[in-house]
Amino acid sequence: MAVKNPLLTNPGRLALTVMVVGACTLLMLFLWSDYQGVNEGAVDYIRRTGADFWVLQGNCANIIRGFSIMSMRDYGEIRSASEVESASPVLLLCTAASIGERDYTLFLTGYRPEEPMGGPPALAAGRAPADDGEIVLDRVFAKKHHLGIGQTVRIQGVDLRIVGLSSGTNAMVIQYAFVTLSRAQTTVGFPGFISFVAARFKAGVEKGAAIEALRSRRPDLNFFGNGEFIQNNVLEMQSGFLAFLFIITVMGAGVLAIVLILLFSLSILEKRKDFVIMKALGAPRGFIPSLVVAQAAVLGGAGAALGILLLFLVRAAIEAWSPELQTGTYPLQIAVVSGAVLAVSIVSSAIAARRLSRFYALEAFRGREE
Amino acid sequence: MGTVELAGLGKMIMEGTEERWILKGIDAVIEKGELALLLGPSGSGKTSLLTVIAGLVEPSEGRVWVFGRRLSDLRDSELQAMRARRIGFIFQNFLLIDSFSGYQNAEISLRFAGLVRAEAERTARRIFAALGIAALGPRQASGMSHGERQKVAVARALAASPELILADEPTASIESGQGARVIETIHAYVRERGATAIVASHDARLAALSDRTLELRDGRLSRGAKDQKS
Repeated sequence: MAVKNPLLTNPGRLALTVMVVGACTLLMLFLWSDYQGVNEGAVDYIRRTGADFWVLQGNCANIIRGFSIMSMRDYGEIRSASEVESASPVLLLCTAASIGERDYTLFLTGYRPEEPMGGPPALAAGRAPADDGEIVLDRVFAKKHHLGIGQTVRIQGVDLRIVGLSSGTNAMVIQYAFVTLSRAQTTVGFPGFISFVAARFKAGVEKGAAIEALRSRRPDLNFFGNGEFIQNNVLEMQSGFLAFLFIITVMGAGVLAIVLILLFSLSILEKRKDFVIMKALGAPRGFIPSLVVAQAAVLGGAGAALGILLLFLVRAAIEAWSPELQTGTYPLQIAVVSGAVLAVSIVSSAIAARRLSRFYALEAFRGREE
Repeated sequence: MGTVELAGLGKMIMEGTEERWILKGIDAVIEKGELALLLGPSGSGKTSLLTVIAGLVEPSEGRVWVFGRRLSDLRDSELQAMRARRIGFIFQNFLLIDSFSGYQNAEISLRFAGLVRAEAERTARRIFAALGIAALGPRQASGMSHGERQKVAVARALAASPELILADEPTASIESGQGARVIETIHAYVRERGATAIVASHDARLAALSDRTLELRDGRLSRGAKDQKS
């Protein structure tokens, strides 16, 4: 039987510490997964549309929090440019859909079904809208509200029949729905208006130079290559909602460190007598601190493993309960969070271990009058 | 030179603003192969003297040599190594690590003495068997009786084959027959290995079992000073 670590002999304390580490690991992993999910979900529509470049009103650089208004004449000009292979006008409205007694907000996306871009990037079921009386809903939105193909949703007093369910159109805080461009224009009340244009260049066109040429021709409009436009929208999310998630994640790590310092300090104080005996018996310098660090490594590792397990359980539960809350979890995230949790555990134990310097071998001889 | 030599040893502590000498003018030599009994009532300075000899407390005056080396010349790491490898301790109330088994209490001492894990395990088993307490080896210390804890404490002290044993009231709070057996065990070890033992006790009946008696009164040796055999 090998000599064991006296700090690892209190099952209740061990379980409590592992649960604390597990809960903090879960919090950090979940927030990061959520962050990743939002990051990806917010721009999935843009990423999967397959445009080479996007055109918006001047001073508008994204569709997350930008408000772009363009005319169909602008669209016509872009469509007829010599560098352009195809262009699709899109009117994006933040509007309410009535379902039962309540209204729910949607990104109502009006597009021309006969054009190659602007519509649902992928259909999970059904087909694209063929006329102004039809709608395609994001499948997460449909699942959340128990809607299916053949049912209707009411928008601005008009019942639209659901003919398809799209995927890759859940931006977490809001979901996309797709109707014909004319339906969207009727809904907003301005028939000649669009929000932006998604377009592709002809084969062989040098994209950077072509965008510069378009910019010089229409300085009142914003032209973005696809990568730049995705980045604009990601940054828009990161500067608002995502920064909040990051702060909570950092706070989670801070709370973990404080709780662990307390728990490790408590366990060290509890075992004061054992450490005093070891010091009196001639424990080499570094031996007792190594027990504290070993305790932290074991508990940090077990807690991180528990947190990872809980993440998958919690994700499954949340996806069933609130499907719009999409998360993205990757091995790198798990490795980084586990590493961070382990590091926080070890640093916390090192801070707690400073108490050991106030334990004296002489105490082994005390409890006496001399 | 004896295993332990004390010359003009004194230890002063402050009580408020007043100085109090808990050890004063102690001269003694404890030779190799001796079991010295350090007698004295509570508060006479027995434990303080043991802690000075163990290098845990620096004297306020005088000199201490252990194994021929002056303690004040040794670095902390050398004192730690000396305690781990050459001195066996039996503390008052035995002070076992409660969450450890009997074997593990001895093994940890052996590990500090520099033995590798497998060797420490073998040695712990051997000493428990030699002392006739193998049944206590696998048992957790927290579940042991007072007498059983005492036996394990003795096994731990002897496990690393120390050259010097410092025992602080090893017979306190146990009945006298058991106490005599502890002293006999230590004495047998001292004789067999040519080691040295200093046993602090307030029980004068143990004097008959020792080679030399040092008697402390108010921090001063009243009997058994240098070159004086009991």
